[in-house]
Amino acid sequence: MWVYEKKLEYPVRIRTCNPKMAKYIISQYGGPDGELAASLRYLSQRFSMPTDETKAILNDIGTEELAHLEMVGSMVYQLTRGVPADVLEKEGLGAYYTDHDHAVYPMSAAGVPFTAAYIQSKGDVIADLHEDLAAEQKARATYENLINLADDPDVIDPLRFLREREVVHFQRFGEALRLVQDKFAEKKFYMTTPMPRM
Amino acid sequence: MDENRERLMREIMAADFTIIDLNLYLDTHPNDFRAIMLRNNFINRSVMLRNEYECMYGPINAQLSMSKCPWQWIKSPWPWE
Amino acid sequence: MMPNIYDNEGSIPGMQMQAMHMNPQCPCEPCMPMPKLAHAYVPFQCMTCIYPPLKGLYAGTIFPELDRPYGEDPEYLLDA
Repeated sequence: MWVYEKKLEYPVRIRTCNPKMAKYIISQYGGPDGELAASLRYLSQRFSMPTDETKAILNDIGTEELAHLEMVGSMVYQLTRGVPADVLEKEGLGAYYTDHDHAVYPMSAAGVPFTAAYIQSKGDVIADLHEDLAAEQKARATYENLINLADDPDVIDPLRFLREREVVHFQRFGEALRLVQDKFAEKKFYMTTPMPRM
Repeated sequence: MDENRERLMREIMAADFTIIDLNLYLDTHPNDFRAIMLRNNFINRSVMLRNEYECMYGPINAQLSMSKCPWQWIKSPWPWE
Repeated sequence: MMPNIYDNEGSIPGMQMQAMHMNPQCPCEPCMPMPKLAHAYVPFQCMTCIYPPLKGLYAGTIFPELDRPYGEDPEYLLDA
């Protein structure tokens, strides 16, 4: 089960509103490579994982992605807080404001609402872990695109943190894949490096 | 948020983040004794910092933190504010 | 009272590696399994030292070997 803690994983303190950035950043909330997709993917895949290590890593990374979801939602909230309707409209958020006012709604930058079609939970451990490796790379690339679009250091800082977490998650999924491969390989052949000359 | 509150919260975030990263490392390196010792040390540090924070600023954890009356959990600021 | 676990450069000193056949690229994996076709392999990380908490939080990881800021890996900068 989950317990809520009244703190973000990493601080989000955005002092200048920027609805245009919010329109892009919301893609990491409800978009195809965003944190909602990541958390749902990993928390769904964990049920059919075959080993202790893979269950744990899917569980724990899935949980951390929920914390990232909260961070991204906070960014969108702070970027649009108190911005009047006419300014939102001028910055390209007129349609969004019509349906959602200043609320945070899970959708992509292009306005497509979140769908489970963004994820797969295949039940095949090799397929699932490769999907997860790809997901982390896609998220990393998206954060890099967002960093390229942003110029406010208050915005770039949490994006930079979230990008680095994707790199670390990729490493962990890679190790989980290795553990499964090594455990279930039928025959193992080892190669060793030669002894150094004295 | 006052300076002391912010400073304490940052220290807590930092200790907790160290624990999170060590947890993920341990999930794929379950036999790393040193990592487990480090993680447990940081939990002690986090508990100490949380006690200091919660005395002055109210509960952090919905299941484990104590509250005075009136119910402190609902009080702003919430993390996204 | 926390014992001092950081060395003079502000990192935590690492474990002593005892393996005989050291691959300098992967000190944690002196004996890698023979790679098979149609399989992908990620090397195991070996924890040596960690950043102090505030530096780790800012970097996005406590592990210096996993600290890869945007721009550090040229293959990540290939744009369409």
